[in-house]
Amino acid sequence: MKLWWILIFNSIFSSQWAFAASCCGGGSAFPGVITGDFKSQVTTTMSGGQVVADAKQNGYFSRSSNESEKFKTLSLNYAQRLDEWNQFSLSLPLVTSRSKQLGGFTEEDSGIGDISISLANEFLPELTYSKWKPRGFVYSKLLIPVAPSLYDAENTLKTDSRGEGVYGLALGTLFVKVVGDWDLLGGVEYKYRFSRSFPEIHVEPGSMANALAGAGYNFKKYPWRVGLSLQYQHTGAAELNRQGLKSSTEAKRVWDTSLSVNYLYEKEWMFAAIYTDQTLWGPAENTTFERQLSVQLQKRWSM
Amino acid sequence: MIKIFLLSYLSLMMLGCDAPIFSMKSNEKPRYIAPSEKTNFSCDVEFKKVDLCMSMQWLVAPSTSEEAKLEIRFLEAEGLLAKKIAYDFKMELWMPHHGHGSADVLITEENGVYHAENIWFIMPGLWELRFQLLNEGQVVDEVVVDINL
Repeated sequence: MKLWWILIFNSIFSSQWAFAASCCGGGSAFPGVITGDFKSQVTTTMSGGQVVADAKQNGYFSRSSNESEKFKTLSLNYAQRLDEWNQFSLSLPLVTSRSKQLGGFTEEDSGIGDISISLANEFLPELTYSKWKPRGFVYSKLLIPVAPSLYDAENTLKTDSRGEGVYGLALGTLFVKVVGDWDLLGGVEYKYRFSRSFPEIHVEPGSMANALAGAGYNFKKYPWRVGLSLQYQHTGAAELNRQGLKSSTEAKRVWDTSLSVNYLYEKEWMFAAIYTDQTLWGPAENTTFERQLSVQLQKRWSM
Repeated sequence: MIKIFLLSYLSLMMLGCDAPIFSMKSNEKPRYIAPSEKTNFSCDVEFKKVDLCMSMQWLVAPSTSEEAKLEIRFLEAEGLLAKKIAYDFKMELWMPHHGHGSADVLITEENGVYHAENIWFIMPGLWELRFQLLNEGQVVDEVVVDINL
């Protein structure tokens, strides 16, 4: 049973990943959480994906063959147990690369992404068996904007836009329940984003809200898990002031469908492959649609 | 014979009438007129505060596949081409729904004709083209044109 919990939690928190969203699409990250008798863990994730379509007011439109927008990320997550119920984690996108091609013009840029720091508390532990009672976590996450964003990107095609550009503080909760060979999960997150002034624009960003639901199947004889999850992300409209000219953006909505396969090796190593697609579910609004494939490797240290 | 000739001539005149000019009204999809089609310059954009008209001609039509290029001429009263205007001219791109713009548009002027390049519509959607006339750095007049790609 403990083996399954390890697979479940690692698949949950690894499949919901913050992939590069220079403008209008992208997913959301639930923080890395340690389960089991481990004092710390390090997760390395390599991701690659591309923008395949756009959601405009009058419908959905595929990108033409003359347009290409791709991204790659190498990121690191470190989680440390503070005591029996509380944990700390740090997420660091080491290399975030974005390339764009419009006709014969190609542009590429790479660099560090935004950093996030999280604190999590298991407020609903599984101390005894219960048919209905899930395990519950509550967390807070601080987003630190260290990478250029759309508001201060300098490249022609804005490929140097790798971050959100503003500070954000998120509060969220996650519940997991194992029923036989299956596991069920669900969670919500709300992120408040702080206003910020750039050289040519003052931004009051909209808040973000996420909701996640998923399920997984755990093979009895082998340390494998296959999971499927659906995440909804809503971003509120932003208020902008460009040298006295005030305007508002439109709200954004997008759905992430993720398929994950996890494998546990000798309890201290975990491998995962995750495919995320934003084109399978809707309705979506005012956003880009992305597809992404991630490969993950995690190492844990016992207490 | 003469009747046939006159009828043919009148038919050709009807067919040769100018197509609708590039419209600058909001929510109307503009038609991009190539140089070979436009035989005269008309008022596509009106700067009412300074009583100037602007004629636009897309050398490379707006798209998300390549750099767009625009040729601009200013018309004074009675539709006369202005060799020189008393203002600085600036153009910028903005996506109102997403809250971001694009690269700085490069504008050069030669004999009263303004050439705008480095116009990149980096993604599909609604774009605002902001045309500004400035005097000593201050905006004197501004017109916004919507383009939906």
